[in-house]
Amino acid sequence: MKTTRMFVTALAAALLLIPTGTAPVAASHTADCAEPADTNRWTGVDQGGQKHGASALFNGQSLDMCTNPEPTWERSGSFAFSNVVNYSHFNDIIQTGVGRCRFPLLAACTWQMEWIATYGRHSSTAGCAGFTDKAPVVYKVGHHDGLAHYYAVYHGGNWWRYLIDGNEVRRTPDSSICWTPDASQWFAESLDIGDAHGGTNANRYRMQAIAWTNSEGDYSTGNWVYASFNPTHNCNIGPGAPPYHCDIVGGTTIDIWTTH
Amino acid sequence: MNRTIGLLLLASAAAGLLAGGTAAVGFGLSADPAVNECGLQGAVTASVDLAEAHHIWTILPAMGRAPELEMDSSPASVVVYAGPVRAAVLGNRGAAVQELDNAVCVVSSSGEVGIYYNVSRAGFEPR
Repeated sequence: MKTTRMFVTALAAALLLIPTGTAPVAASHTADCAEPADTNRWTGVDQGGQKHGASALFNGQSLDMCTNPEPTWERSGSFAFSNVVNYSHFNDIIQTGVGRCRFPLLAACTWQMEWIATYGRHSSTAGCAGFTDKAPVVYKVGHHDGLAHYYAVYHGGNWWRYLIDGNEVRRTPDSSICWTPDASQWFAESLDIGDAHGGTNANRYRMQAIAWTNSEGDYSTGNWVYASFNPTHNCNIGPGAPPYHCDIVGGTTIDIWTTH
Repeated sequence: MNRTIGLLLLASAAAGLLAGGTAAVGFGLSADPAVNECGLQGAVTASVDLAEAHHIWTILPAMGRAPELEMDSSPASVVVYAGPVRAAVLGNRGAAVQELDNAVCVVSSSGEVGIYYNVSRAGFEPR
């Protein structure tokens, strides 16, 4: 049974489209909004292997977006995620995290800090032939409370699960994830070149207790393997140049910040 | 069955004027809650209500596999877009493209909202 609606287009008052949320206060580590050629940016760390989970404790500070946005149109956002990925295509990802975004009319982009959980796949990736391409778009699962939380994705009981402090906030059947994981990753991500990654130099965004799983299992009993990153090494995701910075500060801990 | 004539309010021209002419793709409010829930900016061809989400292949028979829909028996709305749409795409490191071709959005009463693209329109039958 289906019904159809057809649409008639008309101009609307653009003022109706201004988001109702409160705009974040301009910060020195952000820059004027200037959408580039529609590509995102990332900074963080990668742990290769056929992973079945990724987890980390993120501190509770806000993530800031670019300044001086256009009044009615601006696509910008600043996020932090725990992820499991396949390297073949940027769609091939499962991610749980936190962040904020501006995107006209997208309910998940409230300008406020929200919890985000999403996934995607691409038919060009091994194992995904015949599947429909699915974009990992911003998908809100709750409102951030400004506190530190564990953000995780986890494969267990034939589901990929998105967890915050061990509480499942979304789940996806594992049959939807046609790709084979290549790595776990933890990174900050932004949509506009003026958006920040993480915090400021003086107040860096910390991801700690970074851990992954190498097999499917049970989240709570855990087969978690804690990272043992070498602090003398560089973070291995990201532009590796200012204004985006990432530092491995301990075996399980990284700091991310921006100096626009 | 044609149930509702929705009003899609495209504001690209007005927005472009007010925003200094930077809005490349139209966006606007719709009377259709499914369109708003999808949050994509682009022209809509049709919005179709399904009794069960896994019936989507009755209107888009050439659409590829989507196991999350195959196992979803909840009522759903399917929004089919006419051309490229803009979306807030996240993703793996690489070049996450923010404009999607042949997009379809499925809003399921299970609570899931899925954004699909490169969806074949072969045999598309909205009625």
